[in-house]
Order: sequence, then C-alpha cells, then structure tokens
Amino acid sequence: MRTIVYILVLGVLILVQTALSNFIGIFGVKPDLPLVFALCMAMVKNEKAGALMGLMNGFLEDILFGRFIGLNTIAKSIAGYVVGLGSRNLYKGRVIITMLLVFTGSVIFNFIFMIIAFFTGELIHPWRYLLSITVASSLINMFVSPLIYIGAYRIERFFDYYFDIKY
Amino acid sequence: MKVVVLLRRLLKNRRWLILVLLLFISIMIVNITLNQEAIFKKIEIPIITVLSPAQKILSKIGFDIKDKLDTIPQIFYLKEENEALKKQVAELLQYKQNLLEYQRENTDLRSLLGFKDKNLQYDLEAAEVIARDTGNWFNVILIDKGEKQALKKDMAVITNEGLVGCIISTTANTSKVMLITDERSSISAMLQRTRDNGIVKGSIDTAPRGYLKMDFLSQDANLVKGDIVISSGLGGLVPKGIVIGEVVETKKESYELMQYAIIKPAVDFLKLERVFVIKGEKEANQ
Repeated sequence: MRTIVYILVLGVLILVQTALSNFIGIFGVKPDLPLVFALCMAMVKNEKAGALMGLMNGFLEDILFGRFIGLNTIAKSIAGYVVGLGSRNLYKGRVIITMLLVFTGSVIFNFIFMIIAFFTGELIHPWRYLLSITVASSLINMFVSPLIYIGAYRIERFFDYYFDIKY
Repeated sequence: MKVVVLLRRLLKNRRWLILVLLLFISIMIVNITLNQEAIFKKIEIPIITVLSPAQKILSKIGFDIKDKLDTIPQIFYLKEENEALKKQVAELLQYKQNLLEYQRENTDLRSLLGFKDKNLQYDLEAAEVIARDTGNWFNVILIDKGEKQALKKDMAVITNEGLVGCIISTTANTSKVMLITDERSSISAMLQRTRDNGIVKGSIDTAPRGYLKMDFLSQDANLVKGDIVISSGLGGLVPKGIVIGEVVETKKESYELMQYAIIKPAVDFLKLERVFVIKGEKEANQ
C-alpha cells in the first residue's frame, strides 16, 4: 500500500514537472522536484527506498526525454542510496540537515550524470558546466527540500498511524 | 595475500557484492539501449503511450494558468502597447508594398532569364507540446504527433517565429524534439544580410541562458548586432531560409582565426505551445 502511494506521488511530481517545468525555474534553472522527493524518501525511510524512488524517477525521465536508459536512472538511484546511507545516523527532521543532504544528493546526481553523459558521448565538455548547472540546480533543490520533506514525512507518519490502529 | 583477504572480505559482505552487480547490470543496460535503438523503443513506446494523455492535460492546464497570470500585468500597459502596435502595423504595410513590388520585379526578371518559377511550400503537420525535459542539462520536448502522422526522425520543427529544433525519435503518437538550445544541437546557418556561413549550436552556458552560439564565422565576416540568422540548408536536416534568431553580440576567438556570435533565438521557448513539423516540400498552387 505504502509503495503504491509513494509511486503515485512520484508519478504526479514527474507529470507536474514535465508540464510546468518552464514556469517553475529561477534564472533558467529548474528545481528537480522528483529528485528532491526521492532524496527526502531516503531520509524519511532508508537508503533502499531512496534508491528505488531515484531509480523509478530516473527511468521515467530517460524514457520520456532520453535516447537510452541509464543516464538519469543510474545517477538518481545512486544519489538516493548515498543520501539514505549518509542520513542513517543523523538526527533527521531538522531543516538544515534536510537542506544539506538534498544539496549533497543533488551534487552527487549531477556529478554522476556528467560522468555518464561524457562516456556515452552526450556531452563533450560537461565539466564546463559544473558551476552553472550543478551548483545552481543543487541550491534550488536545497531551497525547495523542506516543503517536500514535510510532505514525505507526513505521508510516512500517516501510514505508521494507519497501520498501528488497524493492525 | 592481502588481496585475497580483501576479496574474501568483500565476498562476505553481501551488500557490496549486490552493489557491484547492480552497477554492472546498469552499465550493460546503458550499453544495450545506447547501441540498439529497437530495444529502447520497445520499452519506450508502451510507457509514453500510457503517460502522454495525462501529460497533454497537465500541459494544457499549465499553459492556461500561465496565460492568465501573464494577462494581469499586461492590463497596465495596454495603451502603450496599442500605440506601439499601430506604429508597427504602419511600418509593416510599407514593407508589404515593397515586397509586392520586389516579387513582381523578380517574376519579370526570372521570366526574362527563362527560369522556371519556383514556388515551393512546406508540407506541415501541426502538433502540441505535451511535455518538457525536467532536467537542467538538456532541452527536449515531447509533441503529440508521431509515426501515424508520417513524422520521422530528423524532421525540422518550426513555429511562425522560426526554428524550434529537430525530431530525435518517434513513437506512434508522440515525437521527441531536441530544441536548438540543447547543447547537443548544431545547425548549419548563415547571416541573412551577408550570406556568411557558420554553425549555430545550443549551449548550456551561453550567458544569458537560452541563447545560441554561431561558430566558425570567418575573421572577415561582417557581423552587426541585429543581423538575422537563417538556416543555410546545408546538411539537409533543416530547409534553407528558416529564421533562427538575431545576433546580439559578436566575439573573436582567442586565437583570432575565427569569430563567433551570440544569437537570441527567434522563438520564445518558454511560451512554446504549438509547433509545426516540416514533413517535406510541396509545389504550391500557381
């Protein structure tokens, strides 16, 4: 049940992002809402959930806009996994920790994306855009993360409560 | 000896083993789908078919909201805009008169030289934009027409303002279009005024974002701010004469053998809602 709801939320976020991505950017750089959700899930639940959400998000993006499978799929699942692993022993829920972990996760995603894009010939000099894309998009993701974290946390707590009462 | 111990420890630690295995599988998937388009298409088609109706509806809602939000500040500028438009209409009418005069003169001269009157029109297919790339690295859009409407890979996509991009893949009812602002895009182009040739490339970092770069312009090319850049037709992907944008800045390469120009695209990619795919050229009714 939980998994279905999380997949649905992720699906809605992807659809919203594909439909409205032009309107939600700042100075031409857009926040990656589905990635932020995957990273928040990694924090709220665990690294496996983060990797799974990242994998599904990346896979759909590769299918919808890519020319092969793997560019977003690998980068986003690794980012989700690493953030989940990194947040294991941290006191979760503090805004600053959420923001820092989402920033780190976004940087990891962009870095792996650059490596895959370089080796598959999609980008010839991806390193040139380290600042303009990697840092800028990670900062924007960082600023939207508290809101998405609250959403993910509330869904998780609702399910905990629901299952505690019912079972 | 140490290596054997390390390997034994790694084999004991299942998590690392699984991770390495997953990474290996991922690399295999990248390799297969990158080199064999047919396999990628088999996975792509059912997913896009399921998702495209929802994307179409959401995209429409998005544009409706944007339209409404855009009209609010416009109310305050309506009077000034009206005046400016009247002035523009007067100028355009004068241009129209001149054009008709040139057209007549051209027809006369062609008949004098014995040239066949070439009057070709594009065979266009109208399509709606239903989704946009979610990431910041590439610029790809999804349109709601595909193989059923005889759209194929590499066909040029335009609006009434100018060139949008080229189709990079198709399914039965959708097509992926790589915009000219995408880092991977390059189009043969020329300056309308001087006929100097170059290559227009999309770039992530051409400041401000969303602008293009026209490379390989010779050192003696006479570039002026405001020059119109059109497609040159070389390469065969984009027909000749489609407006790409206008020159906003010219710069010399560091080694001074070439120069390049920063181009402002003619198309407003943020308001891209409806596009036309050029399926071919057809003879217009004489």
